[in-house]
Amino acid sequence: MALNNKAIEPLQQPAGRKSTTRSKAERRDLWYPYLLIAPTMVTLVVVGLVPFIFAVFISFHEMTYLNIGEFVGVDNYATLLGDPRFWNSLWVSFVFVLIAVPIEFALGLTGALFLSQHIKLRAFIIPALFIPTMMAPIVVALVWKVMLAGSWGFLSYNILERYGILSETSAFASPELALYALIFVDIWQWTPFMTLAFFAGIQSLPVNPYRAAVVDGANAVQRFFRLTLPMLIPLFAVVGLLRMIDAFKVFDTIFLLTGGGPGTNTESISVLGYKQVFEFWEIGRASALAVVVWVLFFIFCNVFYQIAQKKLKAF
Amino acid sequence: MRRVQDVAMSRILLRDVSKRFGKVAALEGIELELAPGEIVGLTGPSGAGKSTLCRIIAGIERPDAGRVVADERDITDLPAPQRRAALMFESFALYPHLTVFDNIAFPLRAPARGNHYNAQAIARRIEELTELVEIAHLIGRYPNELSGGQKQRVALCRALVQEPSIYLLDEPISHLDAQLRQKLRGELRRRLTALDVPSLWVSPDAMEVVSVADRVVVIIGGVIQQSGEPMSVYHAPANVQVARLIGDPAMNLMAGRLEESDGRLVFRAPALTVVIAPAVAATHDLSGERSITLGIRPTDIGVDDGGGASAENGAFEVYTFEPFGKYQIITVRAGDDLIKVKTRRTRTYVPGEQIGLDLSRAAFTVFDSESGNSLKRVGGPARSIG
Repeated sequence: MALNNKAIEPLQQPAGRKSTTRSKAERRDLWYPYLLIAPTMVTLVVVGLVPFIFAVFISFHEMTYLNIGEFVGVDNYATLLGDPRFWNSLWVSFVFVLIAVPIEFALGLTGALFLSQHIKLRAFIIPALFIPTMMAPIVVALVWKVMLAGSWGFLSYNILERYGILSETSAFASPELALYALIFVDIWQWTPFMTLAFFAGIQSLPVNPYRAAVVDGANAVQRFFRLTLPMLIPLFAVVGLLRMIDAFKVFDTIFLLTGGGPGTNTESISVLGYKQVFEFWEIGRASALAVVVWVLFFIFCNVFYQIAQKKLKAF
Repeated sequence: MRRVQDVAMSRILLRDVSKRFGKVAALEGIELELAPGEIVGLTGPSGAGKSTLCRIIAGIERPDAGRVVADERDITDLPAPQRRAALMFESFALYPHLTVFDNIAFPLRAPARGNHYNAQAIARRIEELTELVEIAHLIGRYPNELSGGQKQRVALCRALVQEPSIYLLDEPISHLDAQLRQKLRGELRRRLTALDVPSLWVSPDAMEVVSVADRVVVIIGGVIQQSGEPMSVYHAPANVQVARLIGDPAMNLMAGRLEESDGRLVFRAPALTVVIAPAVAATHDLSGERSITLGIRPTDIGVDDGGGASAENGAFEVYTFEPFGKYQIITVRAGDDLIKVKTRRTRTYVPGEQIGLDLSRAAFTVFDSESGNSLKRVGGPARSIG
């Protein structure tokens, strides 16, 4: 029976090799980190920074098709900011974000809380939730085009027409409903993603504060409002920011379903930018639009980041 | 105002409590009583079931078998918020999104506590406690801005700030520096004994528990090995497992045989021969020649600097030497075993040096080799050898 610690002989250290290679290793340390980030940086510069700087450059020039003309100063910007169509598209994008994202957020959180309750069929529901997010935008657009296509659309015939909301025509062709129909599609497509993101966040919350709260006398409602919500705020900030950026630049579903119409009712900022280049060939003005949108985003993201960091302890 | 269904748990009884996690038995047949105003020290190695026991009393873990009784009322199924237990978690379990102040205030603001503390009262209690544990200057910080020891003090405050029915302190001071630990041991003992509720003080450091508790309970492998007054547990460990746990350093344990020669009892191990004094033999049930484990406290062994050999034993080689100022710990090699000696001598010993050991004044504890149980008779030498 081993009752006490046994005497242990120290191991013989192998004779240390003289470190003649140290200076070489030190030199390697200098360039090695840069080598690791080089692929990303080169890609970003080539496909991101260079085109952007070029866009800024041509936004100050007159463009005739693809030929760079004279330097025109801020003319392109003046024309753009004086164009009601630009302000309309900005408004459409804002409405889109301000309605779609909060609804996706609320539904996503509700779904995530529901999933966290150890419900049956969770193993089936979670993979199913990936489907809308995984679908190609063209498929999403075609599915909903058919679903809401007037008298022969499954949903529009059975719901919209039955209750007299719309008749004969597709929701996407209605000046009043088209934008909301697009928002509906966006909610359908992105709520499951929000659900999964929040569900993952809830699953990764530390369990010990909950135990402490139970012993400390907090009830279920208090635990939700005073533990779950505050602890999820960093996740809310990140997911919310990503989703807002994504929703603001939405292009594919709008382009495929309404093309910005009827009229300019659903013409978001991205759709307008596309049209200015490929339909009107106003490349100078389109570049100015891109720069303005970039500035707006830059300000928004920075303000959001500062607030999230200071007030919410996110990031 | 206290709610009607809340229990005032002034006397807690655990009756035959068992808990399994899968195939692992965390607790088996635990019988434990906690009286009002009493500090019960629970000690044992890690994984012994100490924290599980705390969680069962607090109500966040349900025992598989057995009952938890508070003042003759069965509370085994009573939800945790209604038990009003102040549990300090070993893992601290601080609220990451709340400041130190709000963390400590959390239990006072919980609805189960009936909101009977106003903001001023909360602030006053927190100020007093944070000053006691020396974190008053950290009150506005978040847990991720604190060190381990600071977090532990926040968790301690969160438990102490309450007026609970029981204090369950799971390793309350283990991560603190030695000076603060010493200060808090005494301070906490004063506070807890002044209150009319039971306290359970859990620590793997047996000597900490011996120094603060009114009663020490040793739990190993989910089973209570010994329960009794601190000094009786210290002086008469019930088995080798308890002996290995208690003491600073713990008891030296050596396997060998008990033999009779010339009417004397002699303990023979490969590298050590010890004559068992009649006084020791009288307190133990020693009959005939048999295998035993001999326990010798490091403080009971004398050092013979001459390097000389005693009658039975030759010289021992010094293996390590640790000076602690007022005392020093010398570890010597005895065959394959190491023997620790705690001495007040001020000389410096060098590893490799030969010294003699004086075992003539040692109060041995003899354990049965097979069962590991102490052969010491309960009640001391009063009974005659039958």
